[in-house]
Amino acid sequence: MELIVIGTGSKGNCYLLKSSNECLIIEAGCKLIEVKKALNFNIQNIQGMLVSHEHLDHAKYISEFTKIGIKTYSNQSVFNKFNSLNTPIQVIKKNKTYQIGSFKVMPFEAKHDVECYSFLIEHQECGKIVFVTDSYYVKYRFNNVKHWIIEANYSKKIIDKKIEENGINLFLKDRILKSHLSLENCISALKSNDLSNTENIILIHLSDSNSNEKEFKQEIEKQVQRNCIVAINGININLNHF
Amino acid sequence: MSEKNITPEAVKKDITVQVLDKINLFKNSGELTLPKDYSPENALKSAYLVLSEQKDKAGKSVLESCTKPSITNALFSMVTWGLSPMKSQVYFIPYGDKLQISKSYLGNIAIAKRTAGVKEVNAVLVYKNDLFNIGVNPKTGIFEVIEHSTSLENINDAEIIGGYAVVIFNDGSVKTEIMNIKQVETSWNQGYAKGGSPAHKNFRGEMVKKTIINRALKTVIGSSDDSALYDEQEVTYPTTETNVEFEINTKANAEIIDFEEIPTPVEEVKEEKVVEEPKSFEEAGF
Repeated sequence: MELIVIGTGSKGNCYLLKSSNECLIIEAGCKLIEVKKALNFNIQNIQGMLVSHEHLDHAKYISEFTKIGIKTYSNQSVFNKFNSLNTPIQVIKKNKTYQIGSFKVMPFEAKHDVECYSFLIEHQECGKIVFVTDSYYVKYRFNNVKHWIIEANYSKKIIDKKIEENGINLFLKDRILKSHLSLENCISALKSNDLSNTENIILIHLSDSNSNEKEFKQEIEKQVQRNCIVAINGININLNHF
Repeated sequence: MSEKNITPEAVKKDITVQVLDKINLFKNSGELTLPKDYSPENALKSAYLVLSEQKDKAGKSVLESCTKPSITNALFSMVTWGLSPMKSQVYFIPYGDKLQISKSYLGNIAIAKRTAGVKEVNAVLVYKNDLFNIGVNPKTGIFEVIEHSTSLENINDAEIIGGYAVVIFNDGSVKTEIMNIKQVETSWNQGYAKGGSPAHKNFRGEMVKKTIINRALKTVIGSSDDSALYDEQEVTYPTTETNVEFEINTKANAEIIDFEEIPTPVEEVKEEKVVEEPKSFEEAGF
């Protein structure tokens, strides 16, 4: 199993979970052509696409994918906003388990400023994956997670410093606090789980201005003693069992 | 919370009675002395009126959303200070499910008058181009305003360079507190709004006066015989930050969830809906 990061961050999100013979897309915030390129145009094995929420950095290009027959799974709000004859959206319910190809998928509630899903995903090649984006905290805990693909959007330290230097207004700060996961809350989410089987912690959706890749990686590794990778566009991460 | 189903009215009745009972008990046993000119009954009634109007961030009555012990404690503090919310001497502030109470500068003046022999407090602003001279009295080490004159043209909120508060005591003695605008702004920076609230922007002069009065009374009250009565912090309202922290502390990473044994089939879409044109990133608001 490979994780291919097509795009991460507020300019557009799209992640591929590519097993030896299948592919599951998460998020439609990047163009179809980029997915095609990443898969060397072998797109017949795409089993489906998960979309977390309606914001355009996650959902803008849904119709490009549905037009070529890729099934798109998301929540009611995404359905309400995008569903049409050419863009059919399959509504999946939170805390229900679905089988998409050989991927087991369970959406669960993310805490964002619109209805938003996080996903628990399982595949025999990589074990359990928790995927969390655009959520100011993680509501649940999980057993036996192998890989965390989790947002670390900003650090409170950086934001507070910026406020002091007047580089950010309070309104924006309040919006970020109530919609995205901070490094600090990411760490406490990780720490509240048993990480003894965890192999990778992959940080996604870092803010351009309120984060610091190096420090975030160091801090996570220091706090939870697990390998940490900061996702950047184009990166390819091996999620196979060791 | 255990008293979730109790109506605000029931909470009020209960709490008013309880706090009054507690106060009377302390008064009778000599453990509590209230100011002679202060009626705890009236203050509690008006506190109830204020609290029953006050909503938390979620739009819920604070009487419902805050715990009973925290409401009782806030009311009890109010009575022991001898202050009333009707005169804007105190503010009630919900922090998550805890009700807290904070004194306003008017509350500080009331306490200073009552406990520290203060007759009145006057705050004066100093503007750019004012004739203003301060000196130190070497015998007492006290700053004094030697000379201050201003003109109508000088009065301009944008050009405040500082100010001073004169505390006049019953015995005729005075105490002067002088602050320049930098010191005032440093003090504002301790608060959440960092001096950026609408009040600070639109009534800058009044806010400067408030800050200097608070500073002037800090030592006056602090050195009076009831030092515990004073808290220095300016009133700040609960912020998104404290509310979010509370929510995270109480709700994050709670129960464990896992896959079900049998997967749910995806229901095929039946209804059709017209889609709006995709908006630009900015409009979509992320």
